[in-house]
Amino acid sequence: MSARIVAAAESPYTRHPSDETTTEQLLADVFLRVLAAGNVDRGAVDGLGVRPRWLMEDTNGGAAALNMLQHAIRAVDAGDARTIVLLAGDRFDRESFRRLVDTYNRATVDHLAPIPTGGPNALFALLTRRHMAAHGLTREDYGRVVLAQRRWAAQNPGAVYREPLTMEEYLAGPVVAEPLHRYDCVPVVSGADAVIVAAADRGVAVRSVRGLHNVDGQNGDGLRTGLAEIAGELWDEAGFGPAEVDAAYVYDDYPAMVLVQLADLGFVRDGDVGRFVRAELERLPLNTSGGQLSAGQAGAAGGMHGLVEAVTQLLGGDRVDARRAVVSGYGMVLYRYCACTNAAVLEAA
Amino acid sequence: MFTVTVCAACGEAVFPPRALCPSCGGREWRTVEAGAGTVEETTERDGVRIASVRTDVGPIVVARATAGYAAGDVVRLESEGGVPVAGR
Repeated sequence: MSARIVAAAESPYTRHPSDETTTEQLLADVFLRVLAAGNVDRGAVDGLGVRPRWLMEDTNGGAAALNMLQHAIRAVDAGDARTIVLLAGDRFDRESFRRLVDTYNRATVDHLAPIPTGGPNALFALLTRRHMAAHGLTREDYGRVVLAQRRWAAQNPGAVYREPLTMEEYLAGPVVAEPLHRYDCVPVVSGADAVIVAAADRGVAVRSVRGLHNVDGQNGDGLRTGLAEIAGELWDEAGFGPAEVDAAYVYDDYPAMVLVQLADLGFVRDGDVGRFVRAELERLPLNTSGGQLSAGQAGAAGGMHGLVEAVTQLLGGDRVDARRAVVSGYGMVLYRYCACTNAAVLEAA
Repeated sequence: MFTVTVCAACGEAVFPPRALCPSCGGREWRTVEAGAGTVEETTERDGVRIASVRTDVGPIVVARATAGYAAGDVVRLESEGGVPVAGR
């Protein structure tokens, strides 16, 4: 037996959590859900209660889930633990979002909040403009990403946005920070996500998992992440490449970053992002829950949303017939863009 | 006067300031004026004009813009409580 992801679960996302809802309750709820999904007895979980055999916490935002997965896989294969539940959740509403974005880290407090930038939307507006100029993209190109994910969201009863979206509606969304409009930004939700990593014969195998953080010290242009440097070894270790995966789950805080991560992971064969998004994107099952752009971003759980959906589909979910998938994480805006990236290549086995 | 930090050992200019130089690991810093730069991108959020500006000494900074600048515009940078403000 070796480490497998044997179950995944999500606590329903909601835009309007009750006053009584707490993050702890959301974590407890998704914990019970994932145990039920995996038919795992709670007594089998290492670290449950107050006598943990194995314990870690990762607070690196959109990269936290795969950081935890990397540690959990190694811990099970090394024999430190046999059954690990990875949990992420947040009671997160608009007020929580406002408080978070002005106090996110030291650079934000000292150099962004006083402008005021009002959170990451303005920063990624600047980055999206840079991406548009670098690749000759238009708002319609980002709309293609958003519409493709929205079509998947129609199949996800838990998604915040499920109704079909037309390009006209996308383009006419209220301005947030040009060139970003409403549907380029994730709806803030409360919710929780979980997966179980266990020593097992069957489940989802992690063929490779790697990260590269703070790759350029914020001195780059933000259009190339650490994924570009690790993609070669990631696919080499997996034994297959991007053309051989059935679905991709990239961290979708903004459509431009979806395209950046797909390019860094090797999905854009000739580097022509414009051609890719216009001619090939539609053929790639991408963020098949609708992603955070349609399903919602549950604060600290956001990084685990794609992993949960990937595992759900690989374990026999009905949205996409997938045996192999790649999941990427992108998180921690240090100043102008995120510093943390990682990716995992998964295969049902 | 808007300033950025420069590594005393290798001359690498960085912003925001950090403890160790990402190029050489040095921990001694001096500050230099970054009084001018070139606008690279602009946006507006809740009525606040915001620009990324490539300073003449190197780092790209996120600045408050006093007018509707366009990419390529050369601007002066002043400090307002450590935050760069771009103007003519």
